Amino acid sequence: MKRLYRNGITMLSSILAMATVGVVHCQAVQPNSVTQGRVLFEQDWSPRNPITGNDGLGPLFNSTSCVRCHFQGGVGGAGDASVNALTIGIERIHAKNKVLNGIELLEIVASLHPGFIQTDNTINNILPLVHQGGSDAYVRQRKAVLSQFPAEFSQSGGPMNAAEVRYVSTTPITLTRQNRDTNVTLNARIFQRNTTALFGAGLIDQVSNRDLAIQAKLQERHPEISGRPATLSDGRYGKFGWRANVASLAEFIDMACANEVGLNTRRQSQPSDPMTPGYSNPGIDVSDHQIVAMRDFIAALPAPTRMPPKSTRHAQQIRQGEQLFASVGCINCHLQDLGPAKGIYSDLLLHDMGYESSDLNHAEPAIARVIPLSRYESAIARPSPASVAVTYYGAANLIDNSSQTNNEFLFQAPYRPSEPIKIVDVSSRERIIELESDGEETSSGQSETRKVLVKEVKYVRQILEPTNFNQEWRTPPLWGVRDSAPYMHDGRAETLLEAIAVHEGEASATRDRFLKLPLTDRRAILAFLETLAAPSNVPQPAM
Amino acid sequence: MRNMLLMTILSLTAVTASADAPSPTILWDKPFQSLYQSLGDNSLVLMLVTNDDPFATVSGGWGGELMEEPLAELAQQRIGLRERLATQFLPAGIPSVLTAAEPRNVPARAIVAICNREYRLLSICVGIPDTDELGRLIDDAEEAQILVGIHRKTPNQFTREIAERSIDRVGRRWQQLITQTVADAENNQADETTADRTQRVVNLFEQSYLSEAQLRFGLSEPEDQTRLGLLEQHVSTRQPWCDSIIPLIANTDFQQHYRKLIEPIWGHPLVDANADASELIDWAASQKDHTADEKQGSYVLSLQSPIASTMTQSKEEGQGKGAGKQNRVAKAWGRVASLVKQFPNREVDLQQLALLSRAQQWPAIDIQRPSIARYIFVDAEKPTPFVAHITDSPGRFASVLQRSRPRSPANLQPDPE
Repeated sequence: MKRLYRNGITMLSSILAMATVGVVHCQAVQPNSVTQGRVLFEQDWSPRNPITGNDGLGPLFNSTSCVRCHFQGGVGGAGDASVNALTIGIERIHAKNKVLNGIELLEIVASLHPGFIQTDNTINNILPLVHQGGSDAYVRQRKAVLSQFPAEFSQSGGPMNAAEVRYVSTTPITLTRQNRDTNVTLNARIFQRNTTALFGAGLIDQVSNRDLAIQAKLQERHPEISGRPATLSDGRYGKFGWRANVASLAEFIDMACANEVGLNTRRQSQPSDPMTPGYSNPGIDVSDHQIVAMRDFIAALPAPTRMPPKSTRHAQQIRQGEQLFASVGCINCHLQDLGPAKGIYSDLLLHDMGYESSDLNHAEPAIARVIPLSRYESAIARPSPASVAVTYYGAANLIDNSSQTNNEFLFQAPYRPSEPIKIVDVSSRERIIELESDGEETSSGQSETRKVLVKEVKYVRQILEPTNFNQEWRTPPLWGVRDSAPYMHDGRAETLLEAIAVHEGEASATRDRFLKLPLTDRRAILAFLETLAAPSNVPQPAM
Repeated sequence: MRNMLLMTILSLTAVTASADAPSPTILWDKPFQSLYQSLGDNSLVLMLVTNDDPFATVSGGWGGELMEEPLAELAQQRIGLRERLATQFLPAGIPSVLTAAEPRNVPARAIVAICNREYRLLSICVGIPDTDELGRLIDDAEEAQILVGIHRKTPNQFTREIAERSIDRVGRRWQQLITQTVADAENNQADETTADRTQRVVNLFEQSYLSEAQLRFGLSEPEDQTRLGLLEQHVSTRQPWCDSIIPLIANTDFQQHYRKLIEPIWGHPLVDANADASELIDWAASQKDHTADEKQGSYVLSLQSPIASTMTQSKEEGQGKGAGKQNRVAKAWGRVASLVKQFPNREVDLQQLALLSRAQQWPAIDIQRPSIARYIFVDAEKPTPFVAHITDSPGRFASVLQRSRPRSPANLQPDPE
C-alpha cells in the first residue's frame, strides 16, 4: 500500500508539473481544457459495465457529480449540510476480564459495520459511510447505522441542516456484548465533513511552502495561537481539505473523484463495497488528462469577491467591522492575504480548535525534525507491515489485538501521535552486492563470494511533536463566506454568529474578545463578514 | 402628548431620513400607559424591556439607542407605521441598591414585545432587533392582529394558524414541540390562568432551548451562562424559542404575564420602579410608629425564592457533604424561622424589597453575594439592614435575632429545642 502510494506520488508529479505550469501561467492553459473541465465537473456520472473496461460511477459514491455538492453561489461553490460526507470512527473497544482473539475482535467490529475490516483482515478504526450505491446488504447496513441517530437525513445522504448535524455529532454509538464472564463495549461516533467552496482554489494552489512557513514562524511568537503547516509524508505542505492533508489542487480533485464519486483514477482507488468482497474495478474511470482538465476549470474559477456597501452608513459599519476583526484577533489566523491569495482570510495552517471539534480522521502529525537515513533489505518481496495510508478525510488508525494486557483488551483511538517517531520510506533501488561466505572455503582454499540482490531503501525518521491532532483544523478561508453556510468542518453552525461562538482551543480568547464587544461592534464584524461573497461571474449549476 | 411627539418625530423621519442620515431620538414612554385614541384602533405598542437599573436609568436604557436606526429605517420604509406605533420602555433589572451599589446588570439584556393597544401580546423577540428583524417582528404582529380579528370566536384556530407560521420557520424538534403543546393546550383548557400557563410553557420550552443552545454555541460550563447572555443580545439566538412559544402566548395580556415570560430568561425576578409597594412601605413605617421602644421597630423580611435561585439553592444544598450535615443545617434554619416569627415579618419579592429599600433610603445591601439572600433583618437601632444569605451560618443569624428580640414578655419564650 505504501509502495503504491509512493508510486502514486511519483506518477502524480508529472501531473503536478503540468498543473503548476497551468496555474502559474494561466495563459498557457488551453481554453478547451477549461471547457472540458467544466463539462466533467457538471457531468452526472453513471455506472458502466466493468466488462467494457471500467465501472464508471460507484459502486459507492456520495454524489453522481461534483456540482451536486459544490453548488452554493454557482458551480464550484460550497455545499450545504445535506451533502455532508460521513465517516464512522471507532473511539474505543474495551473487553473487561477478557482477552480478545482476532476472530472475536473481527466479530465485534463487524457487528457495527463489516466495512471496517479490510480484505487482509486488518481493521481500520475509520469507515467512510458513503451515501449512495452499494449492494443491498450495504444499503441495509447503512440504514441500520443511521437509524440509531435521532436525526433526519436528506435524500442526498447528509443531515438535513445544521441542527441535524449537531444531533448526529453528539450522539454516541455504543455496542455492548455481555455474557456470563465477559463484557465487551465498543464506542463509536459519526464524523462529518462539510463541502468547501472551490472559488479561488487556483490561487491557493499557488501558495508556496515558504508562504506557509513564514506564517507558522510568525505565530511562534504569538501568545495565543500556534498554527503549523500540515507536513505530508513526502515533506510537502498540505493546503487543501479540512485537515490540509492534500498538497495540490490536482491531488485534491484526484482524491475527490475516487472518494466522492467512486471513480477510479491512476492513483486513487474508488471505495469498495465491503459486502461484495473480491470485486475490483478493472480499469480507470477518469484519466489524468481529465483530472488536469477539471483542475484547469477549477483554477480558472474566479476568486470570491467583496459585496459593495448599500449606503454610506453601511460602508462605515463594514470598515469598522474590518478594523474590529483585526483588533480582536480574528486576523491572526484568518489572515487577509497569503502569498498570491489576496483576500483569502486564512493562514491555511492547522490550529487546535478544542476537544469539541475532535474527529478521528486526524491531521498529519506535527514533525519537529527529519533525519534522512538508508537501509538495505532483501529484495525478495515480503509483506509490508500493516499500516494505514493517509486517507481523503485524514489519517486513520489500525485496531489490532496487540492492545491486550493479561486480562483485558483496550483499543483507544489516540488523541495524539502514539509513537514519537515515524519512519517514512522515500525511495528504493535494487542493487547486486557481493557477499563473502562465512568460514567456507573452496577446494583451492579461497573463501567463496556470492552475488546477492538487495534493495537499498532511503527513508526518513520523523521526530513527531505530540499535538492534539484530532482537533487540529486548517483555518478555513473566509472569502466567499456569506455564500457557504453552514460553517465549521462539519457544518454544525448555521450562522456566522454560531460559528464564532463555537471557536474553542487556540481561538477561545479571540472568541471571548468578540463576545465582550458591544452589540454594535459585534454586528459590525458580522456585517463585514457578510460582504465576503462568492464571485458574481461564475456559471450557475444547470441542475 | 408624548405620543403626539413621537408621531411628529416619526413623520420628520419619513421626510428627512435618507439611508445615510443620522437617526432622530425616540421618545420612550412609561410602560402600560393608556394610548391616545388618535393612534387608531390598529395601533401597536413597541415595548422595550431591559435589565437596566430601574432606579437609575436614562430613557431607553442600553438598548434604546440601538433601536433608533431600525425604527427610523422602518418608518421610512413603511408608510403609515409611524402614525400607529407607540414606543414604551421598561427598565426592570436588579437595582444597585440591592447589589452593594455595584452595577451587576451584565450582560445587558433586552426583550422587545409588540402589543396591541390593550397590551395583548402580538409578537416578541429577545435581544435588540436590527432593521430586518424589527420589520419581521412588526409583520408578525400585524398578521396576528388580523388573525385575532378573524378568529375572535375561534381562538383555537387563531393558535393553529400562528403555530403553522412558526412551524415553517423552526427546526424539526421545535416543530414537534409546537405541535404537541398546541394540541395539549386545545385538549386541556381547564382552569389555568394566563400567567400559570405562560410559566408552564416557558419552563417547558426553556429546557429545549437550553439544550439546543449548548450545541449551537458550544456551551458546556456553568460560566457559559454569561456567554449565552451576550449571544442573546442578538435576536437570532432565541428566535426559534420565540417562534415556538408565540402560538401559545399570542393575544394574551402581556401586562399580566410578562414577568413569567422574562424572568426565566434573565434568571432573576424583574423590578419595575413604577410598581406599587405602598402597602408594604406603610407597613414598614408602621412598625416604628407603633412603639416608643426602638427595638420594637425591628422587623424581618423573608425573600421569596426567585426562579433561578431556587435552582441554585437546591443545587448548593445537594452538594452538601452529607445528609447528616444537610439535616443539621435544615434544622438550624428551622430554628431561625421560629425566631423570625417573634418579629413582625413579611414575605417580600425582589421588587417589593427594592421599592422599600428606595423608600426607606437604606444604604445599598447585597442580596446576590456571596449567595442569594434568604432574610433581611431591619434592626430599628441600625441604619443598615442585616442580610442572611442561603449559604450563611444559620446560627449566626439566629444570634443576631436573639440579641435584638423584642422585650415583650410574650416573646421571651425559650427557643424551640
